[in-house]
Amino acid sequence: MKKLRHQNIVQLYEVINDPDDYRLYIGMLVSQPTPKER
Amino acid sequence: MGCFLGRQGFGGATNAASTTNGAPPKEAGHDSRTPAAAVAALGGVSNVPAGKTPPNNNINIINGTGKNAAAFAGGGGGSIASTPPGGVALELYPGVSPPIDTTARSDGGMRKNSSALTLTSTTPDASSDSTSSSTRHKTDTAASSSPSGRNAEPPRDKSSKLAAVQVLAALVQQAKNEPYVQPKLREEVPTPFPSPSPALEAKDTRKVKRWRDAEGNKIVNEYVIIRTLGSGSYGKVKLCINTENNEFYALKICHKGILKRRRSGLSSALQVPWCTTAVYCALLRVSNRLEVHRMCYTRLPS
Repeated sequence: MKKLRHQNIVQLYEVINDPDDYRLYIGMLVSQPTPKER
Repeated sequence: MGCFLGRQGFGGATNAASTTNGAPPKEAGHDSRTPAAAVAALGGVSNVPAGKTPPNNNINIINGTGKNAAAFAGGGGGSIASTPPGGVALELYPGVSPPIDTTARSDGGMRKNSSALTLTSTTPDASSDSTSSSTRHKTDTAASSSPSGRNAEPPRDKSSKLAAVQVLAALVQQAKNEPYVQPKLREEVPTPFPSPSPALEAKDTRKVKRWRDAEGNKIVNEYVIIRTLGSGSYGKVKLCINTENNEFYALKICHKGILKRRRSGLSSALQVPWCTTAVYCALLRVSNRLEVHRMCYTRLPS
């Protein structure tokens, strides 16, 4: 998913993966349905 | 059938555990990119060089000097390494929502890289001055083009720490109160398929820093969390602002333990008859221990 770059795929920007933290953060594009889809 | 599922699950568990216990993948390749970002942060080149700003960029600059961005970092209770001292604080809520497309996003990635490159040859002051003046010009045009006037007011005192903190706090507060208005999706703008480039690959950060600023906003590295967009069985998705370029991002927060558990197929252990709730809980507690999986595997009735 890191290398994917397409208008129909939610873009992945950053993965924050700290070995000392139990959480995994994934920074992605904010997307909402277009008026057509609603 | 139940024991067959269990066996399959635990067999997969040993595989998953051995891969996670091994060397973390792709660490070296992405660490090489981290110093460039650090250099950009130290030298103070803004994220938006003048010449490379795309015309349909959905960013309004509200803050000309980099001191304010740095001041926010100081006021936040810790030093954000990723907030450039010479950077420009930007605002994403334009009155007229410009079309947003993937080329603009990919330009963003390119911009960061090129700014990190130009930094080595120019002094921070000169570069930040030139960019701030040109971006100030862009501010005026953007402000005049937005009729609803939702831009946050620029700080009068540029060197004041407090003003900068207030501006960003107002920004976050504004974002919290208003419903999130997504810029129009790429309907009008026909985007050519962006060519993949190694520079555009997603960042892989190995260090996480969490704290709360004075207003109590949670901050994860450079992301200020605003609110929850949704939540599911794997975790939550939060709406947040990147303080580097003040664009909105969705931050998916997963619990690693849950991820590991799902991958190992431990939930299928419930289908095994002898696996009572207590055993299941014990499995959850030590789900990353290889021995437990082996033990379960041998204890499965044949």
